Amino acid sequence: MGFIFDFTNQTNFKTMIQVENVSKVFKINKKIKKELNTREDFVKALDNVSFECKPGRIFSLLGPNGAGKTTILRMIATILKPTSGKITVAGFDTLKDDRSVRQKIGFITGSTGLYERLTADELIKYFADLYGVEKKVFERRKMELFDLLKINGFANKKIGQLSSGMKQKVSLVRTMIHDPDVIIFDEPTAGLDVIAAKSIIELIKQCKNQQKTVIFSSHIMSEVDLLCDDLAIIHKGSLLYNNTMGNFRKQMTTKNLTEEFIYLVESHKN
Amino acid sequence: MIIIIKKEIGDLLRDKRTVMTMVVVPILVFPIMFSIIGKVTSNQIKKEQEKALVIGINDNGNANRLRQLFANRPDIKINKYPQPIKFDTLIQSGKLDGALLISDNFDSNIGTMQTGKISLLYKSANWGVRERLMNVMENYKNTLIDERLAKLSIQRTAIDPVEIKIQDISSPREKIGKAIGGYIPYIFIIFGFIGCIYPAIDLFTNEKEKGTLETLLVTPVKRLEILFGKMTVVSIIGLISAVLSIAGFSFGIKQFANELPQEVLGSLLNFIEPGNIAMLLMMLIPLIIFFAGILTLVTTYAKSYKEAQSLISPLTFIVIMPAIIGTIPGIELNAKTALIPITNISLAAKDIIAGTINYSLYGLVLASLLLYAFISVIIAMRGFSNETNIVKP
Repeated sequence: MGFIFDFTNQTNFKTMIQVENVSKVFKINKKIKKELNTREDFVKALDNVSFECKPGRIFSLLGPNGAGKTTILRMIATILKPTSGKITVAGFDTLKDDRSVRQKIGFITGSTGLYERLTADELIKYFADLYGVEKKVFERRKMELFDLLKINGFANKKIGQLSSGMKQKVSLVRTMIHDPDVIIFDEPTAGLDVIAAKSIIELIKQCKNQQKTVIFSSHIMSEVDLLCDDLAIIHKGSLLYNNTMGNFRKQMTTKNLTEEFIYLVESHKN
Repeated sequence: MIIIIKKEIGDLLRDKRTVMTMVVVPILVFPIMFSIIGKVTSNQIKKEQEKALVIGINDNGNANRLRQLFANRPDIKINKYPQPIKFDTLIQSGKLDGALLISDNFDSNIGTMQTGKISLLYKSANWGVRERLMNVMENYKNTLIDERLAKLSIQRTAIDPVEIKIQDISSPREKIGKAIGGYIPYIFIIFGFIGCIYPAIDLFTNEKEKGTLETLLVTPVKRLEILFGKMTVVSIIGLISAVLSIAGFSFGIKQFANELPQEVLGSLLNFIEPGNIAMLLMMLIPLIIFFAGILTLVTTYAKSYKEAQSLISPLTFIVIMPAIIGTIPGIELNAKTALIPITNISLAAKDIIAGTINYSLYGLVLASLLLYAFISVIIAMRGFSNETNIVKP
């Protein structure tokens, strides 16, 4: 599948993403205070988190719901700003050079929406234009990705008429159309059937083979087990573990990954 | 930004709700309204004028001369009742249009130069009844006065020592402009506002709810360009809606408003002259940008479609209130009222229709509207730059 991506464009960084002592505090309004049943004016979503991600490796971010996974991924993608600390992507600071960072990134989540009144073809063209992809490059890349993900059969159908699996394929093309060096998958298989989920798992593997930097967040242990090279476990905004998957397996005190994860989270409850 | 504007307009035009509120309703509402109201009103007036009134008279054997005057009228029929009856019940039930109660000593009072008393019962809700009955009685009264004056050898001028002639020097255009001028832009303002609502909800709240806004935020496009692109689309659609309502209004006036009184029609035709419409549009453009800014803030803050709707509902009243103030008689465009958004457009439009617009005040209205538009854009920018507003929790 190497023909999909232009390897000569890959930025040669030992560390593609560097997260240094990042904390994130949200100011909360009355409505959220009520929802969270708190009197505090601020909520700390991340506390002094550091890790790095390297090209050609899959970095898994593992954590229960509300741990802070999406917050850190959104900060890497420059959607949110860190309250303190620093994040660089391909050498660009997410605060000072956010547009260059976004040019390098593809971001897809399980809850990513698509414009339902557009066709897949129109949507991909729209995002290619937003990323400034040249016409010839766009045509070639679209053809390759549509062939790979078998989208041609429904490329001219309105997205609102597509199944969840088809929509997720269109989302993947949207994420990859500008050939990003870094791809962030935030629970990408959420709500998908096993066949649709498998195609995403395959794509993540291909990205790794093509020396892209992949961050993959999930709470599905089997996916993490299958894909992960480097692992960070996050709970209540703090990192509980950050090392290679190999080392994690070596130091496990329980029978399997799920039990070890639960053990780790439970032991840091307080 | 152009890419975003092109996509959003194309996308919204595929949405039936937007097309209905933006194109179909504004363009059709006035022609339909004028043709229906014009026809119904003229038919109703004609019907009322042609309808024979049925009245009852309780005269106790008096007022034969007056009874005869009524009997001579082909459009009035007198119902006879053998014994006294409750006329008000008959009028309420629609069996009678009106009734006259003649006092017992009516004839003797008339004969001795005293005052004969008549009570007229009618329903003011029934158009024209009072006027037609009073017409007969006023004629009778004038005849009696003339007879008495002749008997006393007195000239009519002796009891009319002063003749007052009232001359209203307002042109018909001015009178009608002041009376109805405030209502017309109010309608265009409402269409402009309604035209902005759905696109704002769709482009901000819906996109946040569905997660499409997040996909835009991770592209290299500047956040402000995303905001301005979307706000421009909201403004364009609001403006199209207002312009189409003006077009529908102009078409309706030309084609279907013939039944309106000539003075009103003349003023309305004058209002839809290109110069006047251009002056109105110059005010509507900054006003609609102001609406777009406010709606952007609200729809960015709202977490769901329902929440956006519930936040916008009170805003509709806030828009209507100043427009209504502008229609109150006696409130004029001056250096103070020119600074009140929406009210200033109603007041300026009154003067434009009346042909009495003060161009310095018009300039002040435009300047204040531009200032409000600018402030609303700044507020929208602040709202959109707030992280908690633009991403799903």
